[in-house]
Amino acid sequence: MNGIEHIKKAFERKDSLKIMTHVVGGYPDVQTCEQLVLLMAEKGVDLVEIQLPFSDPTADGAAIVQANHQALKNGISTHDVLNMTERIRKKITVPLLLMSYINPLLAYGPEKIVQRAIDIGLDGFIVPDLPPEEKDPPLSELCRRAELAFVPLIAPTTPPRRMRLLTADNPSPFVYAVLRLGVTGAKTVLSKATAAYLNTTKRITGKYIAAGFGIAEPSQLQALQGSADCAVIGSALLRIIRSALANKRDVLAAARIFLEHLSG
Amino acid sequence: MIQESQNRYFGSFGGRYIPEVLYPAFTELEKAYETFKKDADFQRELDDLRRSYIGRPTPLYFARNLTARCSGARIYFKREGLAHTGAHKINNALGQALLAKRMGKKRLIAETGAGQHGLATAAAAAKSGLQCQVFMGEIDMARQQPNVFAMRLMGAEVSAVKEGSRTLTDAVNAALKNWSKRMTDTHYVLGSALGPHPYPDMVRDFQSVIGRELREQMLAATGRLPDVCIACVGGGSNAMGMFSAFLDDDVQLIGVEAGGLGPASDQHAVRMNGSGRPGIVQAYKSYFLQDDNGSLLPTHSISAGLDYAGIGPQLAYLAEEGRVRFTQATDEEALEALALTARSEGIIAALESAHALAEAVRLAPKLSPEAVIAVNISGRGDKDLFITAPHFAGEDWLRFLGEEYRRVKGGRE
Ligand SMILES: Cc1ncc(COP(=O)(O)O)c(C=O)c1O
Repeated sequence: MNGIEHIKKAFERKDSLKIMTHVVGGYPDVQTCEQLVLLMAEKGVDLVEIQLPFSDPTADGAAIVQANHQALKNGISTHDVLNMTERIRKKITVPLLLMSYINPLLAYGPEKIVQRAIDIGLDGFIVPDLPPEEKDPPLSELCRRAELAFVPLIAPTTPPRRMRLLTADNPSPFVYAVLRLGVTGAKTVLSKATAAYLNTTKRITGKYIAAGFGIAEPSQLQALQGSADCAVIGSALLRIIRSALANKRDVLAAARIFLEHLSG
Repeated sequence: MIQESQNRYFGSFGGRYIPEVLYPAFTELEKAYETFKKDADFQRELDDLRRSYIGRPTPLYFARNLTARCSGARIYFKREGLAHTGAHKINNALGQALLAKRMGKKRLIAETGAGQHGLATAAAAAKSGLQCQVFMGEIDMARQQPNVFAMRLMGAEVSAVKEGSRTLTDAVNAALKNWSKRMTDTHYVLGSALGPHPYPDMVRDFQSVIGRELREQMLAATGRLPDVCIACVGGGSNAMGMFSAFLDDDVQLIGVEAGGLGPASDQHAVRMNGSGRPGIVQAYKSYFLQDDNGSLLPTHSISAGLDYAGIGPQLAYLAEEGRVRFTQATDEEALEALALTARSEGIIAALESAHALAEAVRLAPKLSPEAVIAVNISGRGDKDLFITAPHFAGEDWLRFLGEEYRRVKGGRE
C-alpha cells in the first residue's frame, strides 16, 4: 500500500476524532523517542509526525524550539532520525509523516529524501515553509510521483480561493488546519469562529481535516468532535517530557499517563 | 544585470518561503509597496524627511590623510554615519514606517543586531506616532548597550531573545513569530536587504539613495565615477544601497564579510568564499553558513551587525554572476583600520564599516594614484564604546567603569 492510501485508511477506520501526535526526532534521545512512538501506537494514536530537528523552526513556539535545539545539541542528524523511523516502521503500522522545515530536506537532497522515505515506509511529508508558489525544490511533485502525501497547510488567514489553490492537484487525503495565528504552543481557545473556519475548510477542500496548534486537553478534543477529523498534539506532550526530565521522572511513564488521560 | 527581482527571484535566489499564516500580510505589503513606490505624494514626504529628519544628503569626503598613508588610490568616504541615529539604517526604517502608516498600521516591530536598525526603527516610530517593539539577541543587548538605552528612551520596548545563539538570526525568528500573531495592526520593519519577497527589493530601494547621492557627488567632485566601491556586508543593505547605482557601470564592487577570528577558526560570518552553501532559511533562498543537516552554524564577529549566517539574495546572485567580488576582514583587521582612520581623519567608524575600511586600506596601495575608491562608512562608532574602549584603553577603561559605578551608586545612597 502506498503512503497516500495508508493515510486514507487511517482516516476511514473510525468515525470519531482521530489523534495525530508529534515527536521531535531524537528528543530527548533516540531510544526514548523511538519508544515514545511505539507507546503512541499502543495507546491507539492514529498518525504520528516525526520532526527533523532544525536550528531555525520559525513556525514553532518555545517547547518545540527547545526540543529541536536540544536534539541538535545531542548531535542528532537527519540520518539518525531516518534510521530511527525505519526501525519504528518495522514494528508498527500507524502512518508516519516526516515533519520538516525545507532546509534540512534541501540539504539531504529532495530526490534522495523522497526515495529514502519510500524505502523506509514513511507515508508523507509536512513542510511548513514550502508554499505551492515556490516550485523549487519540487518536493510536492516528487511526493505525488512517489504516492506519498505532501500535506497542505491551511491557516485561519487563508481566503477560500487560496484554499482551493493550496489543495488543487494535491492528492493528500488530509489538510493540516492551523487553528490560530502565531506559532505552536500556547493553548488555543476553540470558539464558534474556529468551528466555522474548519467547516469552511472541509467544504472547500473536500479533504479530511487535521486541526492543530495549542491542543492539550480532553475538553479541546471534545470541542473539535464534529468539526475536525483529527486533532494534532504537539507542544503539550513535549512539555510533559521536559517536566519529567527536569523532575528526574520516567519520561515514558509520564507520556503514558498523558496519552491515557487524553483518550479518557 | 537585473536591477530588481523578477517574479520574486534574483536568478535562483530569493523567493518567499513563508508559513501559510503570513500569506495575507505579504500580499498586503507587496501591494502597498507597489502602490506607494509610484505615489508622488509618498515620495515627496520621504524626500522632505530625508533632508529635515535624516540630514541627507550625507557628505562625500575625500580622506586625504588616509590616502597619503596608503600611497595609492584616492579614498573617498560616503558618510552614512552622519545620518540621524548614526547609520544608514534610518533610510530604510523611515521609508517603511511611512509605508506602514499609510497602510493604517499602529505598531512597528523590528529585529536588530548592532542595535542600529532597532534604534532607527524606534526613532521612525516615535516620529510617526507608532508603537514599537524591537527584538534583540541577549548577547547583542549586552554588547550594544548604548543602543538599548537609546531605543528605550525613544519609547520602544526592547525584548531580549534568549533562544539559539541569542544574536541577530534569533532576533529575526522572534520578529517573524511575533508578526505571525499580530499581522493586522503591525508592520514588520525588516532591517536588511534579505528575507522573503518583497523585502530585498523594498529595502534596497529605500537604501539606494546612498548610491544615487554618491554617484552625483563623485561626478561633481572628480568628474568621473569611482573605480571601486567597497561596503561591509551583514545582510547587505548598505552594500546594495551603494552598489545599485553602479550595476551597469565599469565600477568594481566589493563586499566585505566578517572574517572574525580568521578563516580557519570556524568563528566568522564568511558566507560567500566557499564556506556557505545555498539554502532556504528564514523564508528566502540564498547562501547560508550551515551544517550537513541544513541547520545554521553559529557565527562570530566583533561587530554585531555582521554576525549573521545568511546574506541578501541579490548579493548572492551578483556574486554568482561575478559582478560583486567578496572579501573579508578579521576582527583584528577591522579594529586596526578603525584606529588608523580615527587617527588620520578624526572619524570613528562603526565596527561594521571598519571592515570595509580594512579592505580599502589593503587595496589602495595596489592601485594607481589616479584610481578612486569609494568606501561606504555605513555607521559611526559611538555605539561600540563598550567593545572598542576595553580593546584600546584596557585598564583605564576598567578603572573608569569601577569609579563611575561607585560614584553613581554613592550619589544614590
Ligand atoms: C553601521 C552598520 N553597518 C552595516 C551593518 C550591516 O547591515 P547591512 O549589511 O544590511 O548593511 C549594520 C547592521 O547592523 C550596521 O549597524
